[in-house]
Amino acid sequence: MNKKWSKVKWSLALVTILLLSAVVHGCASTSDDPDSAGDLVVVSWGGEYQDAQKIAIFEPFQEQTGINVIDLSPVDYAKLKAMVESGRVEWDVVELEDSFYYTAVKEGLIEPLDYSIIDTTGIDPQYVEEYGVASIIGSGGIAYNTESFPAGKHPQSWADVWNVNEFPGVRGMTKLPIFTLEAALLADGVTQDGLYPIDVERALTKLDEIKDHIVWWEAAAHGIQLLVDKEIDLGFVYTGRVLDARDKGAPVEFVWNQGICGTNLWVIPKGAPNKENAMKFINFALLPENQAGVSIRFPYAPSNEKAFEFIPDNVANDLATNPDHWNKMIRIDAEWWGENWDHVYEQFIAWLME
Amino acid sequence: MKAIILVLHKIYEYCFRRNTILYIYCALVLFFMILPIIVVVIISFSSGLHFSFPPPGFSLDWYRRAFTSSLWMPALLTSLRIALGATVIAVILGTAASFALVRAKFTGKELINSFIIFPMIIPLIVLALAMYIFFSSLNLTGSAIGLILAHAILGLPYVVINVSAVLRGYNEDLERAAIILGASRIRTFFEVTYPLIKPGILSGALFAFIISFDEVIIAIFLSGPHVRTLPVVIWEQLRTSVDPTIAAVSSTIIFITVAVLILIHSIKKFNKNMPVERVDR
Amino acid sequence: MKNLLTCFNLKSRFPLKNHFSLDTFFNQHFYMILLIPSVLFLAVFFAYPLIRIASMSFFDPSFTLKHYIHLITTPIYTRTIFNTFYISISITIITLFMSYPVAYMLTEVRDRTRNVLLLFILLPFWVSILIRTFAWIVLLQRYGVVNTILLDLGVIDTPLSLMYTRFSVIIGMTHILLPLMILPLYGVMKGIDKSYLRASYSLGASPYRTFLSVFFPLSLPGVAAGSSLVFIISLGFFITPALLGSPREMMISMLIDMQVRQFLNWGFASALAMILLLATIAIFLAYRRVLGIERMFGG
Repeated sequence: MNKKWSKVKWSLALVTILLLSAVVHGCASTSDDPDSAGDLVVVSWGGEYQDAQKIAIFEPFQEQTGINVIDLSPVDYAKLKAMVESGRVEWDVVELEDSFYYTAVKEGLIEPLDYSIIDTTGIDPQYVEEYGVASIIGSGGIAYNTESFPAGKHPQSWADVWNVNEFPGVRGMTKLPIFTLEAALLADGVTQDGLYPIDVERALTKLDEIKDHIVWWEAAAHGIQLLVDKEIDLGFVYTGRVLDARDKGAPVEFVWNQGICGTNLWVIPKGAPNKENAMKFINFALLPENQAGVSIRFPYAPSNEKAFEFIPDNVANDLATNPDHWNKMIRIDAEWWGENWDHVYEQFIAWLME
Repeated sequence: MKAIILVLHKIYEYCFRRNTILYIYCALVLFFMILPIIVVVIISFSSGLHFSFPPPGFSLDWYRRAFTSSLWMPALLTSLRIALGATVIAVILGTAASFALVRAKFTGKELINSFIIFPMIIPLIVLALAMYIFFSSLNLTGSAIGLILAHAILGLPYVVINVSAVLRGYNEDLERAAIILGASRIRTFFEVTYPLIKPGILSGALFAFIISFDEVIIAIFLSGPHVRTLPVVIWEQLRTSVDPTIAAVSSTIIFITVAVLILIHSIKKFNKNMPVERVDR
Repeated sequence: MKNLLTCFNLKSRFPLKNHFSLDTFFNQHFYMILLIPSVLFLAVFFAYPLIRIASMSFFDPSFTLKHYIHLITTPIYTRTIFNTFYISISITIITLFMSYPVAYMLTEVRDRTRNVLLLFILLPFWVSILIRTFAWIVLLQRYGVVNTILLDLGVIDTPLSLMYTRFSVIIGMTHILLPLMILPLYGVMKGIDKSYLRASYSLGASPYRTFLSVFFPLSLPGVAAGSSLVFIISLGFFITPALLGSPREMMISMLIDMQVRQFLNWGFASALAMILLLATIAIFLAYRRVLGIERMFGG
């Protein structure tokens, strides 16, 4: 009897110790490679776009420097703000949209960039800011599913998107006021000059016309997924996503007319744990070959002009920077958004819930 | 008018007495309950790209993708680790508490019982918010420990309920007999008490494990770049790209859940055969 | 002799409260010590955080009712609260009507059949909510299972818009909450003595009358238990409305999430959470006063 009891007792103790050690070991280990030159947490927009960045930038950077790159998605502005304000920043490099860049600067959420480490040759000065540097020139606009709208019968302007009779189907819009309000005003006949400052009331009234036909998407990758799956027939999707899906065989197409352009910027949150590595990373990300690596795999235009030397012509033609496309598109007034984001967003959310 | 009522009444009587319509109705409801889960499992084996039904063919592709993915596998491991940790804590604390709740007599026992059960009924979003704010100040958000503690709180009531149930139907005379025969307290516990209440502890532990493994809301709030559980990854994927890989992952979870349920069921059945029921109640 | 000595040793170590030897295996105090870790654990990691958000909703930084006032005076928030209660009540009623016959039938069938049927009920119950919601996405999407079947059968020409509507939210939540209504109902119903029904028949009442006057009143504790449970949980539901609904179906939980993670307004989120918490406590207390806690989980 005694022997059995001892066996039970010891095996129990052993199992418990094993379990607890597994748990503790799991909790304690965060970095995989003990010899690494540190970590770097990069946050971008997910999906195929981030996959392209991974191949063209993140992995080569890790190979070259030995820094362990952890990439996350999507960029969550509220989370960024919360982290900086609580002093517990987990992100080192973030790719922000230009409209939020100005808000981030205003609220002191990002670090000034050290241009002694970051080399910006080849980058147009307008894309180089004190707290951020442009990574890509992106755009979004009208996209449609070619199975729902055969050639010749597809929407070609925002007014068409608002025309539910001639172009029936489910519309997809981003669940944010930016791009959405611009689209509404463009559909209402406003041109680039009259776009800003945005008349929010007018835009929302225009949106009311098709509100019941809209499915709202949040993540960029979700938007294109909905279009490919025909959960939406047409609507606003980011250019790069549409063209990438199209090139991979999906029945989708993008309309350059009345597209809306903006830039994304690399920034470093204030108080980032690996600031040094972050600066090195941004420098690496701006190199022409690396930017070209992204643009070839995912059709967003590079911010570094020298990158075009590495981009074949047929790809370059599909980028927003192609003059044919560039002249048909509208440019976001990022500064206006930076100043007015908060109250416009509240208004928009209130309207959404009605 | 009266005739119609009479006819309806006759029909109703027929149904009520013969039960056929009742059975059909219940069959429909139960079918409704199980249908979505079956659909998910079927889709996970589909060779088609989307959620077309019936699926064009059979394929294990999605499972292959899921099990070789650098997205899903670490999440699975994290989930398992956290569930294990939470279960261990819940079992140790809960078993001890059960003894006190069943055997001791003191005022406020009802109150403490309710207190321990309370995490079961409180809306999880409220708990998630409270823990998020609390753990933020302790720098515990985004850490495994935080999540383990939070899930332990969720699992504790289940352990208490299960172990208490076994303890209540348990005859203390066995223990008294052991002491009279000369055994020490510790020995009595390990050789008499523990083996008999083991089924209760085990089923409580399994419940706590599933609860932690499947938990979403608190996990969403408390997870971070290094610690993401499986449900958190599923949640994120559902909001970006919905494809049948999620179905494969879901089916795997369903299979695990079924296995655990069968385990619990067989434990309870085994326990029923043990002659430890109180004779004098 | 050795045994007697052991007896004496124990006696001197545990002063007995009455003249029955070894009335309790362990001392009362020892048991209460066992309780301390759990209570402490819950107090620190459960009660304290809740108290903290309660205070956060009232003190920001000094005592203020501004969050509650903001809550009551802004139409979208009041509408959200009203929405939440409305949806929860609808779901409670629907699940009640769907579950009652099922629970009754469970009492009527043979044991073996019952075990199989209980499996049908328990399995979905324990499968993660997220997965069940995902299943409904698969079913209800524009080119999901339901629509493709209907299209293939020629019943419809264009796919139905089933997702992102109140319908999808209600059907999803009902599906998830059905077991929670069936189990307590069954738990009470199985305790109803069938001889009452037989007595009623033998006294000449029709089955209809028997049901209304005998069976139904006896099943009411189960109805109360199930309804309370379903209602409380619907109020705080997050996953399903977020994935299956449109912004119009926003419920309190989604609002809390938005306030915390997008607007970073912790004080206001806490106020919303308090509303949920108070509703939950109110129903829980009301229920406990009528019946005991264990009844809530099916006896």
